[in-house]
Amino acid sequence: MRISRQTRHVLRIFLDAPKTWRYGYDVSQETGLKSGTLYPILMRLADHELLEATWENSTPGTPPRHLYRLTPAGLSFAREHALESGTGSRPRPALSGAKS
Amino acid sequence: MLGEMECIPTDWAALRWAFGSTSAIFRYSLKHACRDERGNTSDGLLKAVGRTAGGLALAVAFCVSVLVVSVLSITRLSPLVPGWHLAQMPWAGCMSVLGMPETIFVIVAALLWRKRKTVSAGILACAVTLATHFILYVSAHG
Repeated sequence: MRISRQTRHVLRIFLDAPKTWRYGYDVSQETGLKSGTLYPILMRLADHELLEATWENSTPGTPPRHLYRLTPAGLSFAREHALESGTGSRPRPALSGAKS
Repeated sequence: MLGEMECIPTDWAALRWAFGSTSAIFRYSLKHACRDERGNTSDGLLKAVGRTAGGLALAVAFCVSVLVVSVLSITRLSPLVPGWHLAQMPWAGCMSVLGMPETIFVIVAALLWRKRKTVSAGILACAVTLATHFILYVSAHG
């Protein structure tokens, strides 16, 4: 699997708290990646079973949100690859002002 | 992806998010559809789609250029030729917007048919569109 700089950055974010489920938008905020770049990465990682995804239990009237976190295989993969070239600067956030 | 939009504070940011997500879903679906069609040679089909789109865009650009040049040549030439008054010569208008471009389209499409079939088909489609438009215009306005 080809590991791009952005993929490495996403893996680093997940590696910060490996057990935590994260929203795509929050990952976007933390990495500065836009949705058009971030989702292909998330989908590719999920295809390789490095990420697991689940639907959030949403309140009625609001669409459910997808949550992501590393699988055990993803955790070891991330530890192996995420810090390979960690010298690059973090890109600026693509979107700001998220509701928490 | 849709659920995320509920949490994006501004409309523009949500719109950008929606565009990005839609393009991601489209690319993902296209890639998987290609993979299903051709095993693992999705890149080949993607390139073929790109070539087709490029060929059609080239054809449309060519047709628009020919049409513009044709119309401009008649309207710019008419003041230079004594006795040419476009208002009194409807055939000249027909020639500039239909006759000349259609002739060029057909000739170029025929020349390109063997080597650049996509471009040729695009030019023919433009020719048909132009002729249809002209017929509808004439039948509507007399």
